[in-house]
Amino acid sequence: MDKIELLMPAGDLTRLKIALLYGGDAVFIGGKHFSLRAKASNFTLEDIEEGVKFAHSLNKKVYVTVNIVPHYRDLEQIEEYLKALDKIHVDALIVSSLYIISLIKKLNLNLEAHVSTQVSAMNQETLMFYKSLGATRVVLARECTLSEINVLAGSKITEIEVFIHGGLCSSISGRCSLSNYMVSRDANRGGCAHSCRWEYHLYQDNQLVSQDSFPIGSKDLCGIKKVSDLIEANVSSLKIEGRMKSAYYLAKCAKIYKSVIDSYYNHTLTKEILDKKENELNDMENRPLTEGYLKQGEITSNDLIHVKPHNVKQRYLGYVDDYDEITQKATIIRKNDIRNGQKIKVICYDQEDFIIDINGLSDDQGMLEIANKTENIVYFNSGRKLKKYYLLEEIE
Amino acid sequence: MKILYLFKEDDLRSKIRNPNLDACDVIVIAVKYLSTRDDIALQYEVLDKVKNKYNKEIYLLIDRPLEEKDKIAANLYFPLLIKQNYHFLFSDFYYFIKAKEYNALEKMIYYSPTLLLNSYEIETLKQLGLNKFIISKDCEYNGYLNILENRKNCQIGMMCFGYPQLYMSKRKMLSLFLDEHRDIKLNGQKELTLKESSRAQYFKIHEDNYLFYIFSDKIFFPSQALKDFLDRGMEYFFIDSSFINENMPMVELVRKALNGESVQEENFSSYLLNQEIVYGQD
Repeated sequence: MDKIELLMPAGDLTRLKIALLYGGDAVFIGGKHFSLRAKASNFTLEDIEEGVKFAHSLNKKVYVTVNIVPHYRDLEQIEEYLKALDKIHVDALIVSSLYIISLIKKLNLNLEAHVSTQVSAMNQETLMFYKSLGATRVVLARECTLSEINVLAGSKITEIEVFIHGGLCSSISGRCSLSNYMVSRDANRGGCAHSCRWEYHLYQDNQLVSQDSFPIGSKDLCGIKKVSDLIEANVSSLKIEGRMKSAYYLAKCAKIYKSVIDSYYNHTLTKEILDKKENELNDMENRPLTEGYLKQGEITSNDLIHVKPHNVKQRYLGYVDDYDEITQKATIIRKNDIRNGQKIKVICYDQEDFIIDINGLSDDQGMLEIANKTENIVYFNSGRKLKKYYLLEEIE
Repeated sequence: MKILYLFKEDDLRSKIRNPNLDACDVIVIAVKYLSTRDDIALQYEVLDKVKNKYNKEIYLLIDRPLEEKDKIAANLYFPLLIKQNYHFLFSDFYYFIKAKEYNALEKMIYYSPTLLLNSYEIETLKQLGLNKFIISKDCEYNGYLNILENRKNCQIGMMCFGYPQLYMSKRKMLSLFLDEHRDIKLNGQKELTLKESSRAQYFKIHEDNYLFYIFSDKIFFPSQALKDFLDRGMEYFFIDSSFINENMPMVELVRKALNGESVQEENFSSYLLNQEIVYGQD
């Protein structure tokens, strides 16, 4: 039995490396063009090449999103771009355009085609259709229930990829023009303004029906308790959403989901472990979480976002960029406030996490009691060996 | 050239003939269980009544995305319908596979609300055996022209009148809201709108047995562009009559625009037709 793939998002090279080091089996990334997350700091071809080399050195994979729904001018230079991705040994493309899928065959490229969730595949015939075009994998619509996933993955028509964690469209994917219509930002070309998360009110005959807002946005997905079901359904890949999320978020998600997947295959997965992991995920920088259509039973209003302030916990302090073994001085890319003398947790990708005291906090200007300017580089003595890409977390 | 007009269930019950139905070239009927217009859809069994009442060519709207469970109805009705003299507006490739099995791809018109926006997609679909297409509503003016210029041996259409559908969700937002607000008594779903707090637009909404929809606040009717499109070979002009009173002479307005006659425009929008390419912005 092939082990299920944990597929992580990454918005830049640092996050790509962190996502893979912390447990991802593959990453999906966007190039500067043809990709759906325009606000993510997308990759140049040189970045992609470096990312592919790094991933392949760990025997892991890189998929590149080419999943815009193209208008005619969007397709200029697409052939050159696909050839370049092929040349640097990208493993697969995530696509929604039939034309782009057909180009892979026409140009005789080694790239695999994974069909994006933007096409909302929900039945076996649709899988057959895309398979006939040469696609090897289909990312299912996020509306599919567990029993439907069982049927579709069990059919073995193509590999099946399922979203397991992260933001959800409340509209059927690829069918939403709200953002384009309201603020001229086309969700199908990378510009989604998340109009579904705004505050709406219901009217009838132009009269306000209720002072309460009318929610149409969804909570974020958390399918940690469905991992076993999805493995048993013969799903090939579990996808975590969030190319714009921080390195900390990606590392934590990768580590948590990887540990659950490993526990499943080691036959050590228990309800207690799942409860603990779910609590850890709840504690992160998400909107409130739901199991979405993976849960048993109907979606209820409790699965929707009610517009009210949601305090995001900022416990991510930064990551290790360098460590000098002689001076024991760590160089940190700082993301949030750090105090001299503070006790913090170090999150590791290759050993158990541990606690350290920060001493001798400084930046390029001199010694500091608190580092609280905009994101910058700081230094401190850790008293213990650190490695590049270890993460620093505030202790509550 | 054909003007297509979406039939409403009420039109069948009414003793008064809908002049739009008399004036159009093709009547489009949403099929119960298979379309995104379940509220105005007809059961398979009564399709012939429309044929008899209006004596027009009939196309069937079967544009709902199909989940596995929805295939029960599709497996039951589509084989019956495909043997008859209908064309089909479809978006789910389930129907492509099935029509191919029945050797009936020539009856199929691909009608995706968002995914068909360039001539390359059309060429790809043509190579698979399809040759009739309705361009997605999000197309821009130059996009339509480009598609028409590159059209080879296929028929192209567009939605030319109606409220564009902006959003379609499996989450039944209206029911969920009313479940939480039992004290609210609505007058059915007539004239229901959503208004975003900081904007003046009232977006039409609707919920059927399957999905919740948001439509634009204004009728899309690009009257000045239609003759251009016709002259360049546009074949189908589809009027989506949802939410619009049949007293409005929709077919007549479209015919006037196609003839190059001026039409009062203040109540209509051109939707995204004149929009420049929009990507994400930081």
